[in-house]
Amino acid sequence: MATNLQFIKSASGTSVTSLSVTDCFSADYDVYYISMTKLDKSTEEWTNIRVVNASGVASGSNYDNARLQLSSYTTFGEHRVTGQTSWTNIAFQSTGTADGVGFGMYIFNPSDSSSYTFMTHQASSFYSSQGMVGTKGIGVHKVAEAITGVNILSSNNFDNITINVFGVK
Amino acid sequence: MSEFGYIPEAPEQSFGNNKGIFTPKDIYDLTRADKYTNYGQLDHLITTNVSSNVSTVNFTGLETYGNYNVFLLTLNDITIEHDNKLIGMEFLSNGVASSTNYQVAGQSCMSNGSFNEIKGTSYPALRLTDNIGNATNECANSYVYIYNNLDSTKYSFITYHGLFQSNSNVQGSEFGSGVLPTTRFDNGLRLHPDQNGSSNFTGGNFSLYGIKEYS
Repeated sequence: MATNLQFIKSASGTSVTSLSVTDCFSADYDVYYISMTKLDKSTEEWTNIRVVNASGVASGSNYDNARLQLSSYTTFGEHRVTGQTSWTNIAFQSTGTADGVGFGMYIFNPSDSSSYTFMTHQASSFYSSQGMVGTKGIGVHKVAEAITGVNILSSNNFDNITINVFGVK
Repeated sequence: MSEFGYIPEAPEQSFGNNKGIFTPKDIYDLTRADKYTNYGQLDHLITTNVSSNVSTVNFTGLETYGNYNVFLLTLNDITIEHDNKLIGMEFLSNGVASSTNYQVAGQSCMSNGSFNEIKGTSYPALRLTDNIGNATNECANSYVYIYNNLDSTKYSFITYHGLFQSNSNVQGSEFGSGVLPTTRFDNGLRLHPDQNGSSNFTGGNFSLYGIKEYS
């Protein structure tokens, strides 16, 4: 939870399968907060997240994450993976434009080249034919390197997506 | 001189790119137009302190504080009159509450060993805690992120993580998500000391913050 926030950067896209926010992490902060409130899709699917380093999007098999799926309509589910090419199944998105999303993520130590990059996230979204899908989870990018940004991706297009990045003071 | 009065007229001002000499009025006007760099984007909007019995705590007219997509609500040392009640929250649209349309899903974690899934698609209100006690030192704390409630084209979502002392003085926590799956302009919040009935808040404070975005 933040004590104060300083807006750093936002990025938006339409009809894209991925969206990067680059050069948003620096030595100025140890912790960052990322929010998404606009995330519209025409295909029901999960959203994944990667980090960006000096060479671009980091797509090596260095991502571990675990999360609890909290659904209003069915038994809760666990998702835990290691050695993936992204943090997977972070937030679910359905096809309605009203479904939107409420998504928050904290990123820890991204600019520290001697430390892994860690994250926690919590989200709420709506599966049109079923009901609410919430998530709460953790993740790590297991490379000790400086991370400069994030990349949001899915298999099919985001019709509209906006990401905001804040430094936690 | 620019429309905002600052000198010189050029360049056009924007967040992260302010140049020139500004009067206090310039700063006020540019801030209101989202064109003045003013770090500290967790904007404190309202705090309500409870020191005697109240049945609800309401925050209304939220759009008058700014067009926030994300709000942060904190609950600090909240105490209630009756035992074994859980704190709930409704959205208000120009003062009008919704019906029992809330969908919730929360994971309750008690320090004495029991973990429980709470879920439903027709709750009378959103959950912010599990059941709390009313004895001395039995209280609740929570933080809640609220998304898209001012956007009449989107559903209003929350995520939350609360902690509390139960009616047997056992520490517990509940985290989860919630939604009002209706496209409304939800410009108010109503907090209840009992999601399913009636009671009173007897102490604590509620603070609402806006998280400022720039495009």
